[in-house]
Amino acid sequence: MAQEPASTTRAEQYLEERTLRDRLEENWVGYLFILPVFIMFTLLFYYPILRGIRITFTRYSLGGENVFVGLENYMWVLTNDLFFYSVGWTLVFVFATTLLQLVIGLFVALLLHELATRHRQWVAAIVMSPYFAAPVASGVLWFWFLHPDFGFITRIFVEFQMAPIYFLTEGIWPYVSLIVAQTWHDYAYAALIYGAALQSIPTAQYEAAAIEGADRLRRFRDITLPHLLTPTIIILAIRTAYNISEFAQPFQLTGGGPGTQTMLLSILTYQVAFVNLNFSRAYVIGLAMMLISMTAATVYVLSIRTEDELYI
Amino acid sequence: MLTSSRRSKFLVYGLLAIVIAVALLPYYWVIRTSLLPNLATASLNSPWTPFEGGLLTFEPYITMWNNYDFPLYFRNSIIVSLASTALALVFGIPGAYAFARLDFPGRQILFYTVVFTIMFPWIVITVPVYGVFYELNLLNTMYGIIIALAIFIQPVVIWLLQGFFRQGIPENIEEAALIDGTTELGAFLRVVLPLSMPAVAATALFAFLSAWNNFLWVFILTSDQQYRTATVAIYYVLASDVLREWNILMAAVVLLVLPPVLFYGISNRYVGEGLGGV
Repeated sequence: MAQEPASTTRAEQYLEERTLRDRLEENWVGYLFILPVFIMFTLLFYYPILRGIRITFTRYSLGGENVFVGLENYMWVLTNDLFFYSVGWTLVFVFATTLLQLVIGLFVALLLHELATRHRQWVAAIVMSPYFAAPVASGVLWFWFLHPDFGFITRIFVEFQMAPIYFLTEGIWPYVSLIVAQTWHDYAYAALIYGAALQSIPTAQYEAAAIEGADRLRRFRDITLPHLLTPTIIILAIRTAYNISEFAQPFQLTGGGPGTQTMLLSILTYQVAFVNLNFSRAYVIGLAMMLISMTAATVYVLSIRTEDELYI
Repeated sequence: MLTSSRRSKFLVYGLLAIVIAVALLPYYWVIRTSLLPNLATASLNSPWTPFEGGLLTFEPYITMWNNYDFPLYFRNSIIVSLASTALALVFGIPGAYAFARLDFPGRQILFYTVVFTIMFPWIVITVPVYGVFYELNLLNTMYGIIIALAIFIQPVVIWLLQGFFRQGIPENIEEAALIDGTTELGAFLRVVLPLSMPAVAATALFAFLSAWNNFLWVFILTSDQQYRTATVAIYYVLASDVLREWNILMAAVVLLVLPPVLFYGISNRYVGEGLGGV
């Protein structure tokens, strides 16, 4: 008994000495391993981010003089109606798609979980397949699917002798179409994460609960749900960041139109930069996007700090 | 498992059938269109399936391949995807290994920056990157796209591989090699790498398909037709209003979408390990 405290202290001392210097000596080669990666990141990521911020204070011209204009670009953006409209619609889009992806993904994951393993894999492959098409291809798919003359839905309407709806140009439908198409493409992501979480629940827990007399609803509520809490936060954070960045599919499907009705922030950034050729103002808009997605990223990082896996 | 009774099993199967239908319906409409002659696709009575009326034909695929520049575009897609995957792996494998196994100071913070990279809106970064590439004379070149794509898919490669390195390789193997007298580098090259070939292969596939599917960077960084990949070509074809033979267009879409969907579907079980274990 008297010996124990002494050995613990020695162990603690040993652990303390193993901190910074020892880790550095042992593992310095790690820096070498990651150096090329961070060089690449600096070239295409860190440096451009900072340079972009500098651009926002100038009237940028490619290969020419960059005239310093102070906060002029920021003022332009902050007094721009289209910008605020875009922010509003983008928030609606991101909120709707993230929520739908999460709900449908959970639903699908729960369904898949009920299958025997040998069936699950090929059914999962089919059910997840929308996710693997290129976003721009998915845009083309939905463009054709919703085509006012020859699309699938229109043909059904014709069969039932109803007037066709112009899904990409009429009234509220462009908004709905974008959200539906995006959800179709991405629900598999949430399903994958939920699927992994469901599989990590030990079946012994279910069996024990069943023996104790808990019915299905009770088992779901007390065993399944707690295991789904962390994945839900993670999905919310990651999908928010991804949905805000989404460019290719909405761009292909409506291109911000009709007119500017479905102008997401991502498409607006593209337009201001590469159609209006105003890099500075485009980057200011981009900063707004960054703000939202980096907030989501921070939520994600804070949530997984105690987790073993990183779900990305 | 929540279901035990036959009735609930039927419910599950029924609901799954609906989900499968929803997932596959857009694909189906495109495939069906690609197998019809042109007049049939553009008529109001066009058949629901390509089998009605004996109209099934592979001609759209042949015409697409012969009469338009799609062979060029697909060739570009293959070259660009292969090259950027190779580049990303060459740098990503050591990087991932370092993050997973070597406990150097600052590791966690540096790794979180990788995470931020993945979640960053890339459309924003195209603005300054376009300027950087302009000054480096990399615009409108194959090299430029390959570098850009390699860096774009790098973070996911690292994240996938580090997950595998951390969980898939027993610690003792490295220690055994170190005791035998090899250096860290030696242990990595001679022991860890051969063991992780399946994971590297799965990651390579994932990286290849990410590059294949990429629209943004090729779209922004190139303007000449000769450098286009198939993914971008589809956009231009639709946007140009020139090609309005829907069956040919849909044939191109099918070819574009087929590799990723096929390969992900087949490799589901392996990729699943890294993506979260489905």
